[in-house]
Amino acid sequence: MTETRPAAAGPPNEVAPSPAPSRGTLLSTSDHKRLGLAFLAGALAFLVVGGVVGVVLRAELAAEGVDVVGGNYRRLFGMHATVTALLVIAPAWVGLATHVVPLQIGAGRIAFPRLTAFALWTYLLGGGMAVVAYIAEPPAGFGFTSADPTAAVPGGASEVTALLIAGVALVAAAMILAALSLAVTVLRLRAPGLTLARLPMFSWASLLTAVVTLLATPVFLAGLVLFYLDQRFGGTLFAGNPGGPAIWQHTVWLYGRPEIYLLLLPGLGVACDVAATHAGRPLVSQEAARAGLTGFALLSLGAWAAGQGVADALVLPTYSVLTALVALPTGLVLLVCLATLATGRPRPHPSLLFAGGAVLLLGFGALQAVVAGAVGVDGAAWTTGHVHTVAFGPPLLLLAAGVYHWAPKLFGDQLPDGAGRAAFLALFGGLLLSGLGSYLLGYDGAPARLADFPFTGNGSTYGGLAALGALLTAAGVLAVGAQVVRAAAAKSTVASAPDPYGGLTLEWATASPPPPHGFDAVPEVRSAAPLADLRQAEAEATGV
Amino acid sequence: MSSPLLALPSAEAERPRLLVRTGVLLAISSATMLFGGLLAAYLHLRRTVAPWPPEEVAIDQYFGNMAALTMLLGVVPVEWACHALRRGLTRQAMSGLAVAIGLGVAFLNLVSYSAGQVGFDAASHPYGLVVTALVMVLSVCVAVAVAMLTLTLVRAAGRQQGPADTEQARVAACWWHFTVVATAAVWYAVVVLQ
Repeated sequence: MTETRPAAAGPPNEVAPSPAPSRGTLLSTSDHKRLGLAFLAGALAFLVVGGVVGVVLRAELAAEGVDVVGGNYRRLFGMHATVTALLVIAPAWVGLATHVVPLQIGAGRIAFPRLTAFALWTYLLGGGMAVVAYIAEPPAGFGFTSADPTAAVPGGASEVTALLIAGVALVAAAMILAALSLAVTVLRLRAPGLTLARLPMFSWASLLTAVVTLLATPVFLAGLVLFYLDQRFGGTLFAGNPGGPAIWQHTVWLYGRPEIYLLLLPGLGVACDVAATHAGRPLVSQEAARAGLTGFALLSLGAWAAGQGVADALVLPTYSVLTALVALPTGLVLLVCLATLATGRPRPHPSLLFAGGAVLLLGFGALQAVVAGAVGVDGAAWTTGHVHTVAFGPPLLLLAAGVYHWAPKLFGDQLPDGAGRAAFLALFGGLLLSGLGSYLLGYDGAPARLADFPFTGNGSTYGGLAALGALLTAAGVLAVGAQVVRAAAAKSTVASAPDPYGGLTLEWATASPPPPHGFDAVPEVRSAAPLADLRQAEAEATGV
Repeated sequence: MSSPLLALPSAEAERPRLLVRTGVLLAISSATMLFGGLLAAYLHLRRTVAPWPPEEVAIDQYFGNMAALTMLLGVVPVEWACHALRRGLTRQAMSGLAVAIGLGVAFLNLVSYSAGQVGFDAASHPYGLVVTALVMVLSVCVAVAVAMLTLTLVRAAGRQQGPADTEQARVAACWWHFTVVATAAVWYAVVVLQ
């Protein structure tokens, strides 16, 4: 269905009186904006932890014979993989969505603020438990990068292993609860006139992400329950039982595949909103973008069909096809963004740089997949590069794009442009170099997950390249983090312009930063770009 | 002064939000996936490990049948309570809720007792572990249902649930019905399919 802009829009509707959320202290607040910022702060803290460990691991692999971590390589590798895969990107998206989505849909609140607050503290507690478990002593080989579950030691597992499993289970439960609150918010608290077909793309992507999370994460939780019991009671399921490993592989896989896609899905929504706002016009095709995001979410569930690494795969023949098909909706969404920018009047903004960098990284990763398929890859190090270039890099860049874009709402003012560009260069360049180094190591036959191995050919050059990339990435993360912390700490009492970009969606109709109750008045919604309608109506009324 | 293009009639009644009901329906879909994962693990064991039940284990069908029947019986008083609340019959609603709560507690007691009678546990056999996980998660779901019904009972007693607002009762009923279906699935897989 194609919507046409109404000839004129009416004045804002006074918001129906709703109780202002309690601000209180951070412990007792029900303000979705503060809860969202707390989620983001937690994710940033875990990113720093995981990033520091990643840089140390890269230093270990920079050259043959280097010994930085002694005998702790596998322990640190497990910590890096667990922290960055589970505790950073997904919770950060929850944080950004918890803050921004209620504003985008014209709601003064989130549906279940107490539930979201509970999810926040559960996430922080669970994440903390997981990190402490790795610091205390090496958990018994447990890691989410392995398709083989850890067999429990006779008589029960070590306490740190139980602590790690319990921590990860808490994080999974927290993500389910936060997703539930977000989904109900979008489904039930939209402003009058804001139909699902008119939802801003980030809200639409957040709704899809929440629904897929609600379906996929409980399966992972089921696997963790079995895993905990197995460890706690002496290992009857996974040790020496021929059916055990397949159970673990499927429960992890059923979560892990959609989760990889879900890291990118909200980012595609961000890319759409960033493109439309800074191009100064609605997306060239709302329907195509919406269909692309929906197709992406559906195919993430379709990727439940397992790959060859999983025993007794349920729908093995469809796996490759469904994975490859994900490129179609991704391409569709990106084409819509590019067409919007090409037909609008884009104004330079750091968020556009970050979004563009994410697209370039995705293209670079896709190119490497094609090359690898053509020439064949000997080394598992290629996978390390692909994971960082495709699964981690683009979502991280798009997350930064979202933070820069919505900074006036998050922190009360825009983040500095110059520093943003510098941070982008460091982050994008670092991810590119790091990925390139690992790809080249893989083509050279280098293995992965080993502390030391003999380099062949130009291995030391490639290792150095990857290490340099890791350092640059860390510098970029620290630069973004420093700007965010500085902006959050400034606590400006002077409200900046509500709509510094000439935005199209409802979040730009309220003050920057928004008041505790969200809106004083919500503009009438007659299309997907209510603020453009309002400006048009005002222009017609004043004859300008 | 006329306002020509106001889109929304100002006197329109606020539409019901049904936040909790939507939330519980989504929670039910999540819990279904959780049970699905555990049941799939159990069925996978049946296919790959050994016939169910293991030789040294005797499943007493009486306990299983009684547990499933207890939960199923609860459907009637729960629906009775919802119906009574809609018609403003608070005493009848409270009676129905009290009966359903009693049945939920009886189920938990029966499961707790029969778990000690089965003769194997999580440490003794892969089946023991998976069945323990299934029963544990099911018991948590039933405990949540009992808590929701108790909350509804208290709110009904305080006249906070009535013809004007039955969402809390409806939500508790939805969750109860879900636990009945989950119990039936576990009962069929563990007790009937031997």
